[in-house]
Amino acid sequence: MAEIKYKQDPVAEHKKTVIAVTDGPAIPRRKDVGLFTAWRVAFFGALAIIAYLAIVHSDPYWKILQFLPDGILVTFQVTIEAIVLALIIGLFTGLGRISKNRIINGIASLYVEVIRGIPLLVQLFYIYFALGRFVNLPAMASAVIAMAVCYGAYMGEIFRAGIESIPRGQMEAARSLGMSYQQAMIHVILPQAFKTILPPVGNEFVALLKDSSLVSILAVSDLLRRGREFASESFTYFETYTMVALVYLVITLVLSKLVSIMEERINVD
Amino acid sequence: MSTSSKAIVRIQNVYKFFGTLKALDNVSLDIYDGEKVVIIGPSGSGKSTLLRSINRLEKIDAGQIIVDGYSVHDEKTDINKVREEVGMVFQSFNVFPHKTVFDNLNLAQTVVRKRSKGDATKISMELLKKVGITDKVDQYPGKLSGGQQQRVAIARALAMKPKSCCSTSPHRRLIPK
Repeated sequence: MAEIKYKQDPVAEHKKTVIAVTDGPAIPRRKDVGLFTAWRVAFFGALAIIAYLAIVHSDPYWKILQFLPDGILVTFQVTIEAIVLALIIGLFTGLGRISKNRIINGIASLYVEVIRGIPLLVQLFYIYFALGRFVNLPAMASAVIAMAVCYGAYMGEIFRAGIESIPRGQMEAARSLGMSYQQAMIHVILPQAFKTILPPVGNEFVALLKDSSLVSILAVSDLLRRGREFASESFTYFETYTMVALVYLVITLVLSKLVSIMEERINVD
Repeated sequence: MSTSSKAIVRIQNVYKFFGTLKALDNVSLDIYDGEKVVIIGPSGSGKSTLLRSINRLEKIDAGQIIVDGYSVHDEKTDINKVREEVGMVFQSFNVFPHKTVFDNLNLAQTVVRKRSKGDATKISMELLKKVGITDKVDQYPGKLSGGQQQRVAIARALAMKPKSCCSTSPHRRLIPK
């Protein structure tokens, strides 16, 4: 196969091609004009449609909109609780993945492999229904644990990559000053890795928020579940799910925007 | 030569291989308290490897190294205790980019030596005065030139008040004033 080369462009020559596809919405950067305007169109478009429907066709749209906030709160509650847990799990998984101790490394790697190979929906069913035979967890707790365990595996890979991105000399310098491995991690490596880790963690947060709609299956009254409740009573499936989709869209667009602002700030510092 | 009879660093018949490359070939060397030793050699001759093996950043394949009575490459030795006493200045400095010049010096003093913040600060200021960068204490290393970063690295090592100090290419970027 012929070797593919960049054109004789000095800038392109030095550019490393990075293909990054996440399941969150694309994070707009200021330079990325196409995406930036797409964000605006989507965001203001969604707001305009919501406003139009709620005002002009207030029955049922305004009623639906009034019914959803409880669900939005639950969605955020699940997402935030799960992400906090996932961060803790992810930190230890990441540290385990770079551990020279074979047993610890093995356990961490196995966890990541197993979790990444099982669909989140199946994990949710497993913790709530299958493990329900041994421990009876409430639906909300099952939902949070399942999401955290699943996203912890992905977080682990983010932490691992972040830690590995710090030059080896930093650890050597810290250890040479007499710091233990833990002290070096806490004071030297992790604070630096934090910068690299933060944007992908933000992405995971957005992705987790979207995936949290799966918990509606466990009778957790999140945004989607509230929509379903309203729709099945009023038989307004089209109207309700349109509204639910728009609300999800607005939330994820706002969050992805916040992530991009955070990313920019970090790059400036 | 120092008059003290006690060798602070004893390197005895040390071998180190990188694959088939023999980096250290039966090296023996005694360094006494107060002595200054300069190791000169072409690049790739193992100078850095020798220094790095003195505080076990590099494992050796044979022989032994004794620093201040501790057998460095014995797995039972608390290596952190040894490293406290061996100052290390790296070829690429390895200053901490997320800490100010000041915190670069203070960190290990407070965390490892358990000095109070006041004591550490006093020692840091003194050393920064010695290396001539008192005006940059609150700057991050990214804003400093290579030579200034190296001086921070030297001061950081000395702030621990180590019994011995190793440095690779210590004067590489320092132009005497």
